[in-house]
Amino acid sequence: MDDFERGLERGLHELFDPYLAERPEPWRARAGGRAPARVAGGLGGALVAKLATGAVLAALAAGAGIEAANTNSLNPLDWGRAVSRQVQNAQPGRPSTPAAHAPASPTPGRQTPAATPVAKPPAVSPPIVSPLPLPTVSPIAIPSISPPAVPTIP
Amino acid sequence: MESSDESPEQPSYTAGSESDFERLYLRSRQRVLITLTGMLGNRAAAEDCTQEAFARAFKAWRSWRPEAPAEAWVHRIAINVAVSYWRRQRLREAGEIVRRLGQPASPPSPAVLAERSDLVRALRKVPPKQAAALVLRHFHGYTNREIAASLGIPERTVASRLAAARAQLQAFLGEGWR
Repeated sequence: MDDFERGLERGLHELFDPYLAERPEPWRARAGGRAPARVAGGLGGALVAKLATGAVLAALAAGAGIEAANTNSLNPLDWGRAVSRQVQNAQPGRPSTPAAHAPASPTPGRQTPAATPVAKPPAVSPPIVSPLPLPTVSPIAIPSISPPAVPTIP
Repeated sequence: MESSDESPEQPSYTAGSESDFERLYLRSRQRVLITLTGMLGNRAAAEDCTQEAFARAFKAWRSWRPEAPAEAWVHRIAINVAVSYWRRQRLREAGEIVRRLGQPASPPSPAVLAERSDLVRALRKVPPKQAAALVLRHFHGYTNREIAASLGIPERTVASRLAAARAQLQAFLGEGWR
């Protein structure tokens, strides 16, 4: 070993000996005991993505099928109109604004012990609320597909 | 699973054992970090590459064979990670130079200033595989045979890399350095 190599070793030790004094934190603490996993990558990730896409498409198809069966139409505009009609039909008999809500009882914090026993039943009979009309759901109509006519060759 | 029968200085490990990997990590992490810092001339980058190297080593730990000393095996993985990093970094730096053409240079950060010793700057001029051989030889005290095992190259290639690295360092630092 010549002077240059001795100088090189001395220089490297001056630079890097302080590194050896540092104690690394345990591997489990740094990596959570496992190598970093690529959750969204690989075959597993692709399978999960395909399943999720399939589930979303199936849900959309089921919703479209129910609406198509209810309205006897394949036009989404008709489905929207049908929903609007159902909402409008449900309006009568129900309060539509906060002002229309009559308090059911006085505020509990303002009740006095004397006031409670003398409370009389309300003179006005409570409004009769008719139940909301429930939409009838008929099973999805499966369109029948007839095979195309095959021309006969004489 | 296989276990190694190494000398008292070289502890034995069982492939696939998590506790043995923990021991290997605690024993060799700083030494790997030093090698990569010598290669890259940048401690932050060396930290990232060291962590990536141990993550790869952990995944491959079941397939480790005791024929190669465990620390040399980890070093080999780490040096490959650092060489890949160095290549990507060179491409990025070339893009940065083009982007900054005509703009005033920003002042260096304190971390960069700390890494501007003559020796670190000289090591940065040396190709990373040569720098790795230099640190393994002159800091860790590996023999040429051990370096060859670490890098997966013939011993004569190690000798030629060391000679080339030394010549470049001497040219950069000057004959009268130290």
